[in-house]
Amino acid sequence: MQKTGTLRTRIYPYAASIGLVFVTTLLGEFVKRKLEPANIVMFYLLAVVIVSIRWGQGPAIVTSILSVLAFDFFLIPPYLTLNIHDIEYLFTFTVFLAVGLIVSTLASKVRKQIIQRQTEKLHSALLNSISHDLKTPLVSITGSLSALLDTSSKLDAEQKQELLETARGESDRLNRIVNNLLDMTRTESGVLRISKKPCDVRDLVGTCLGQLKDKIGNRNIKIDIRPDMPEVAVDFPYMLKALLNVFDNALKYSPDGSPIEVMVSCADNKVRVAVRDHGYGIPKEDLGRIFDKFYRVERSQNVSGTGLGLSISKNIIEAHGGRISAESVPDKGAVFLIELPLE
Amino acid sequence: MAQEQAHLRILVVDDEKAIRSFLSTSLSAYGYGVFEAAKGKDALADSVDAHPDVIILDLGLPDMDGKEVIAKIRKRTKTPIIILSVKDDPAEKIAALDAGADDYLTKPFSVGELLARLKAVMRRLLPLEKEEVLRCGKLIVDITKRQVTLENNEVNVSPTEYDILKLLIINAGRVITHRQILREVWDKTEDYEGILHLLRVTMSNLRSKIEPNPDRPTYILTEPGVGYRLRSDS
Repeated sequence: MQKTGTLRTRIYPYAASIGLVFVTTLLGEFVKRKLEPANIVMFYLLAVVIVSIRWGQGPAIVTSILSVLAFDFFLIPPYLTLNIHDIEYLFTFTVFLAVGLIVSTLASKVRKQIIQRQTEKLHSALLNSISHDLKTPLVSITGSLSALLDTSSKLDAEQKQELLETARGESDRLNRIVNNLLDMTRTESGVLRISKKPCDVRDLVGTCLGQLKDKIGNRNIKIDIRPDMPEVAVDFPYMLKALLNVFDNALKYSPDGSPIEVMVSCADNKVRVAVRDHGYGIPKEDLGRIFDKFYRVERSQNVSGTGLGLSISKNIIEAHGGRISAESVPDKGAVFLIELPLE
Repeated sequence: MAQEQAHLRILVVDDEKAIRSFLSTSLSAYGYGVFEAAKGKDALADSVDAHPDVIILDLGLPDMDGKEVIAKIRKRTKTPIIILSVKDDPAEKIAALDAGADDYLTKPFSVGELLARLKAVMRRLLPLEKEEVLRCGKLIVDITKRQVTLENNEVNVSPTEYDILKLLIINAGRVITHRQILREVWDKTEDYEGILHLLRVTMSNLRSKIEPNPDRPTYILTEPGVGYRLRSDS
């Protein structure tokens, strides 16, 4: 998690350390007439402890060193120089540095353990939810197949066919869940490697609709693509996955028979793909969270899904430097808008 | 159906016993003679000694790299190879096709899909007849007359569009990589961007001439990141 952080999140702890040393020094200025310098050192030690618990070892070491320098420069006579009259202070500095290092090492160890425990907790919650998702179709598959094996003689042809179709349908569902989990691990931030090549957006949309043809059935799909659309540089297989999830979502959350519209346009050096359905829509309070991992709109419990599709799409689209957003009027439908930069 | 395939022999190579077993049962039911191998080493020996007509090969064998198995089989025989892979990875598919495989299926797959692939790769074994008229649904390509008709109406295609369509329909049901098209149609061995752009534009034009709805192609299907496939029509 830490390693994938942006430059800003990596610089922030060090900036905070400098700030804290500054504040401690100001405090020291106020009390230096009343307190022994050896007591003021305690304030700096407190700063080191806070930094090491909050941000770990690196910033804590920086805080220790800065503390010694600031302490010497501002709070020990002669002021505003690094010179010292009393050789005793050298001893104070050395001990302070040693204590600072030890405290920061211990504190960052505790911090690591806390983070590890939190991650483990998250992992087991995740595994729990995934196992549940995997188990549901397995129950139907095992049930149907064992019914066929154990009570075959009591079933008529129609019942047998029904059981076989259930097993088949549920194994497809199992496969979709596993594929989603694989796509999720592949596309999570920092892991995804895309190779962009120019592609025909019309082909991308057409291939997506072709792969969903069984789910689409006779539903009316209106496609609006300018014939002179410029090519856009994308990783075709990944972008296809992103589109498939958005379309699949539109198909799932709108009534059978309602139309779906796809509009592809190009403006401001961007290609926009809008997918509009005339379904149940997304409640306002859910709009901000539908792209979150494992998030599912409350009323969607009767629609099968893992809550991963849209977050996979988001990962892929963002890896292309694009963005995805959704708008909705509840009970009128939703529009998903994908924007991709033209190079 | 079962009768005409009775003489065809299929070598199934997979380290999973359950997979070999279901392939063996279902393919035998369709009249194919099936024999099995669990390792790359055995597959290499059987690919020659057992005289298979088609080899179904799992890419993830424990003892050898899949591409190496394909390349070694190719040194010995031209028998069509269909790859089975658990990863839906275009780079892996292209590498296997470049090494000499004829087509691929991603696990899990249905027996229906496998039968369609088998039929498509076996067409390669049949000699091209002199007066060849190839059909796919309502699309007809007359090789001798260089003529394309759709629902009995002649379609005006450019020479390049015709060459691509001919290549695809001769191999109907089988994947054709971008590189294969560039080599066969433009006589290029390298797939630089300019020529790939030309391929996409030509394909788009061809689709707008032969597809009932060019926005949702049903004849020429795109294989993402790999190439194209003319739908198999059975």
